[in-house]
Amino acid sequence: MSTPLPLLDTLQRVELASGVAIELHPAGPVVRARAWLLDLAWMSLAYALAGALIALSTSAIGWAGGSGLFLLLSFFMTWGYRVLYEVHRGATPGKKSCGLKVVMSSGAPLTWTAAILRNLLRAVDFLPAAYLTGLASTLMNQRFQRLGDLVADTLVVYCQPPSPLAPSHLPSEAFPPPLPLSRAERAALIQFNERLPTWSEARRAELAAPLEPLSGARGAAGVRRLAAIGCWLRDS
Amino acid sequence: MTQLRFEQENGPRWDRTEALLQAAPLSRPAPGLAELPKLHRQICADLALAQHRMYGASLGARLNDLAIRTRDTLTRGAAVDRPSHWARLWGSCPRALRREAPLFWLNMLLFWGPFAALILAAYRDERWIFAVLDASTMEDLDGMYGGDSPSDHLRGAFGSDFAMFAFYVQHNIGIGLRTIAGGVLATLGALGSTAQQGVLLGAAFGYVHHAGHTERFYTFVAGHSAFELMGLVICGVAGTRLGLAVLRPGPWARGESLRRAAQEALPLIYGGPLLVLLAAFVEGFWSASAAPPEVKWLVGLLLWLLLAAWLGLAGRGQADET
Repeated sequence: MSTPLPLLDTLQRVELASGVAIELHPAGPVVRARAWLLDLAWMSLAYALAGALIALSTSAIGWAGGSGLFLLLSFFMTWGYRVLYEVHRGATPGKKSCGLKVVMSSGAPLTWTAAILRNLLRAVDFLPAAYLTGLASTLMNQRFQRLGDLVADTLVVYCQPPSPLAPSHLPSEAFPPPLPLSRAERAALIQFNERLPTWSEARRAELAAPLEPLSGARGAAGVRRLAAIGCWLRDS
Repeated sequence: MTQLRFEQENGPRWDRTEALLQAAPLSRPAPGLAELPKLHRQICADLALAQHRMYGASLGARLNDLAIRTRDTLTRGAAVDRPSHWARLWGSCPRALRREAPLFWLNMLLFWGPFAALILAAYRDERWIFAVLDASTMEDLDGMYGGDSPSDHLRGAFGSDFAMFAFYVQHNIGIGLRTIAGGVLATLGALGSTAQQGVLLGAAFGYVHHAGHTERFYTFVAGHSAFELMGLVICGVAGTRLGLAVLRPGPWARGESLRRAAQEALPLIYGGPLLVLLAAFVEGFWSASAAPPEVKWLVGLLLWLLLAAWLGLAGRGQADET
């Protein structure tokens, strides 16, 4: 096997039993905050619905039974609701709608123990307000783990692979590189070619400028030459 | 081999794998599933080739996704660990507690120390009580133990035994769980919470002595006291263990040390709140019942002895499965 390439992004490599490395895409604080807000809305709805049901049923079970049920409901919503969702569905509804799921740091499906631990630790991650402790923790390690994730050995990752890049519209003539290139350099050129369609003309030229010794041209001509080298490397 | 040819040769197999994965939802077996281990190995080989030959990112992402999903489908039985350790808790919880004996006695001291100190202080000068308890708590205590009977007062406040039980679940287990979690903050959350419970309870006991409702009070608390108080102490031990892993990680990085401590303290993390749950059953359905005081004393004493015997003796001579 070749040595792994230097990372150009936040992907996490995990080696499987077969020796191949899969890549996980950990989710940062912003998208997780959005998922949390969606969950909050979802939970409020569940509270309102269940509360209305309990209120309606008090005629049958009495006012006291109703208040008891509501206390048990609030206990469940605080400590159990996310655990059940994360074990059975892989994510709470809010996370799911943001395209996130919770996995073990090996990429395997979440275990019961891990789900219980990571949600137990919310009580601390939330402190002093609005998940500030959790935010500090996510920013202090490379996998965006809050304290609960560290204790339970879990990650919040994107479910879907990043959407496939559109094929390049630039003239895809192939041209061999004028110099011998290292493996990492070849990988960088191939990725440059792949991501080309997502950048503006000026940005392409800016990124291509330091490679003038390789492309032998500036501006748009340099970009075209680099793309051609990328094509050659990919197809040979 | 160019990427195009690689995709043309293997594409149909990837499509077949994709179709099989979509036909095999995680909950039930589907035809063709027997082929999945082989397909998974082939996908892994394809992914390794694609990485080595530096094929494009979108192909890599597709193979990566297929490798993860075939693996998840194959390993799901092992991964969903139906909590088998819940059954082993009978032996593993006392064992874990004895392993953490120093932390256990530290938490005992932090609970019973302030408890006794507050009772003594309140006996000498009742202003200690007023410094800790607010007026509504004292009114509650008066209502429960000064009036006709605790059950009448509680039924007035909660309406039924079930509602009382639900309140104890929501309130007491919540305290226990927050104690465990708070321990991560360098043990401060756990030790602080244990000591706080000692102070509050000591003040309540002091007030009851001050107001002279002792008999009603003690017959009420006798039944559930063992489970509730020791359950909270065990939660304190679990939290302290987590905090120590942060303070003194030993040879590991702090994150790794925290993960290991959580696994070691797992029987306590489950056991403590479970004891508090047990206490909620007793407190909700037994403590306020109309049984004569002698019976309640006896039951309370018996439960303390049983709990001490369990924590001291159960699980001896067995090894921990790790």
